[in-house]
Amino acid sequence: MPAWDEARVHAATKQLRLASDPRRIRHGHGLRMGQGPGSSLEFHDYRQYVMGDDLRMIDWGVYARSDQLVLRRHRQEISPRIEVILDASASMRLDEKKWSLAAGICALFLELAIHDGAQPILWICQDQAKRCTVKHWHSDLHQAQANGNLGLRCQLNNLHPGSERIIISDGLYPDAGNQFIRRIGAGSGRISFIQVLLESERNPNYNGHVRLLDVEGGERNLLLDEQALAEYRSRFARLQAAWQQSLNGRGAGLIHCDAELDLSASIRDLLKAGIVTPGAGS
Amino acid sequence: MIFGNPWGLLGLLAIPAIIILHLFRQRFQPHYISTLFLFGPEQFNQASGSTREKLRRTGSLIAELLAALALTWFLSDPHLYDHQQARHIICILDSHQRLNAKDSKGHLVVDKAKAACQEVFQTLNSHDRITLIQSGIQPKLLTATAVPIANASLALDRWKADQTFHSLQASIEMAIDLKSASEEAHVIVLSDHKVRIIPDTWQSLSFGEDIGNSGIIDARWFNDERGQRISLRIWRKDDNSDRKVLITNKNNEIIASSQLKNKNGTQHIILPITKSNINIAHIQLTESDQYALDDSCSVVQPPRKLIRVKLNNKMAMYKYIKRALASTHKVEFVENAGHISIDKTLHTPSPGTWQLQIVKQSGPSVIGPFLSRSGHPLLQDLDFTGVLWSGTATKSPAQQQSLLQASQTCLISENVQNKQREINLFIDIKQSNLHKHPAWPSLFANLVEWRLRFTPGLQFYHLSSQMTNRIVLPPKTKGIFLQYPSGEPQSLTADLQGVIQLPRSLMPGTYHLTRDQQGTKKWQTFIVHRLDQRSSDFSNCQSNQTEVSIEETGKVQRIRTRLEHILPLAFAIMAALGAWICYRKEQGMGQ
Repeated sequence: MPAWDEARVHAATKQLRLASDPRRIRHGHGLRMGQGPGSSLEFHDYRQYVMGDDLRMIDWGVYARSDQLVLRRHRQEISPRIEVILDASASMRLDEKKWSLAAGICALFLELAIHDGAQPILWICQDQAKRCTVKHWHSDLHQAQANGNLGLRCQLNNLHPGSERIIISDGLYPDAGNQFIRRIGAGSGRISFIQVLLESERNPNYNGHVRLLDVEGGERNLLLDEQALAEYRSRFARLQAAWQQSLNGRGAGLIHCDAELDLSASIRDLLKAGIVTPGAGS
Repeated sequence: MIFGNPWGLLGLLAIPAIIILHLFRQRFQPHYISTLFLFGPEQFNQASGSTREKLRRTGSLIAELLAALALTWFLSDPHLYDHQQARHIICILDSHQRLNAKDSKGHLVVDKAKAACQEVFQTLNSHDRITLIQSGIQPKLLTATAVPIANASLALDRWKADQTFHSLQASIEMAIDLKSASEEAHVIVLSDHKVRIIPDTWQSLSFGEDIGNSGIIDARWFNDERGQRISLRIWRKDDNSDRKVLITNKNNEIIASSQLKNKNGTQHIILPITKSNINIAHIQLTESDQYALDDSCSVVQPPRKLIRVKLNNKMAMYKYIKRALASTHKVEFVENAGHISIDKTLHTPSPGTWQLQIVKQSGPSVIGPFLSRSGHPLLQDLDFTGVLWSGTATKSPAQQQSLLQASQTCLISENVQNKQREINLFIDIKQSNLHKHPAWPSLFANLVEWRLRFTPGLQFYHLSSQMTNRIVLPPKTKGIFLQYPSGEPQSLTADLQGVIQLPRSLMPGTYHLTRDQQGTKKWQTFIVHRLDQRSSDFSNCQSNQTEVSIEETGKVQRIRTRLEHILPLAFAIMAALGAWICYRKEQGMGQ
């Protein structure tokens, strides 16, 4: 069970807001102003009256002055739909700090979404994807176990079209990148990939005779030297580039979070990436 | 640095062995990762067990080396000094069986000696040392020399005063030798009387009491031409009770008895045995006294020994020889093969038959001086002075040894081949006066006694533990089994003469000679008595208990303490356990 810093998450929800992309959100009636016309009290623009428009929206003052039928439109009130996809593969629990930070970030986004009046959905991906509603996300997240082998490679059905998707994972999959993003990116809003990594995953520092035991299965006895580690770092860079490339044009892109640091450092990373913005109380 | 067991240093060989194992050991430090796929499909340099690697200071290596060192420490027992300072007491325990006598209060003397000895032990410190010497004909150490008090105390509890009479001199000499090995040793002699033959610096503790006693000091069964009889000697001192001696058979039927008359001194009683078919008789003194061990004993009927002689009645000297032989009362004249054949009556003598041939030779007559072979049993105590010896041999026949000669002439010679013996007496009876000389019957008496020594049977059927015994086996027998009083058999093998010499110091009891190991085919029985007048006489016994105070310490042989045993062993076990845990952790099995 992950134990994230709930106090820090709670405090952050008062200081931050989700930086939603109004162009990609088209659903419901909420607390946030949409990009298009709607039914709020805030003025949006005027347009020529066409047959069939609601006569109540005609600006009769303009008609009196210019003898033209002009329709007065107001800003749309929207409610963003957030879907947080948490990778619960065994690699996420390689270190307890990594899993706690991932859960903390996940809780932060869910809290922010709820605070914005959205109806967030949490997907916990072990060997199967578990859908958690806004009512039960907290207990479900608490009970989540990072012991799956598939993680993000599991079947994700019934994703809400046009929703903003936040993926929290380490992104350590041999076939990462295009395939996965293509699968979940169809019909989605903005996609943010928050990559939680340990320093040892980015830059392993062990050498000599080692037995490498993969937490998701497999082992190998190797003699690691500088050449082998350089090869590793090269492969890791290619993996990251693949993610970056697949996320291009889909929103915030790939955001790195250091698992060795605390949630505050990760929040700074999120602010820097623009996925959250300072709120009114900050 | 001194090593208690230098061979234990071989344990150091484990150190290079461990290092070699670690040099060539495949070391895979386990790492749990999530990015195994990033290491690529290609194999990097696989660690190999046949390649020497740089030695790494792993926990398992250090723990294994420590375990090897600790084990070597345990095995080799290194120490700085071979001796240590401690008080050393040498106790000579008088182990005469008479210490089993009771004093006037009914306490056994041996128990009082043990209690006094334990009291002395209690005044000592735990690191002080004791040496216990059990007196005897051959004194022995009850434990090793200079043992801790606990060991000595256990040995003292097991000690029994069961030795027959002996001198304490051998035990005292042993104590002197042991004392000289230790710088300062205090010697205590525990006995039932004050021992006066010890140095002034030694202490003699006595616990005995001058008590009245009656006891059997000698018992024998005779079976000869005068019939069967049991000879007893009884010692009495200050014993006013009306006592009798009873002789019973194995069914406790009284076959003879006699009243003891004198209250003091030694009585010699001879009781004839008229009943036949009694092999073992039990002798018992009626009434009890303070010392019971000398109040009863057993005697065994010895077989009567006769020398069967085949004598040629046609020979010239027949009557002289027969008269001389008949005077010994131990000869039976037979017509067939016997023990001795005289004058070529047997052409092919049976095994074990001795031949005496009277041979007339052409040598000169001599009147001496006669030179006899020293110590020969045939010529023992014989004096041929005044004998005119004629018919002598000018030289001893081939393969024969001269026993008696005068000048260059041979008078008596012998030839020994295994159990057969041929004796030649070179004499012309018509011219010699030997048959009229006193040496003549003595010569044949010696011959009979000599032959008796080689007749099958035992030399003694009743003996004390300090006597040796001699067994002559029947012809065609090479070995026999001696069955001890405890029932344990011992195989004995005879020499070429068919003789077995039994050692002295046999424990008192009844011994059987059997033809089989199981003891079913009994041949002869003999008894080793514990009887001795000196064991039954308590005149010199007294009680003299003085306080033992020992302050001087001396050098004693170092003893490895229990801590010195346990500490390196525990350390080795802990290091080995640590090595195992480290190894498991290094191999990742501990997670």
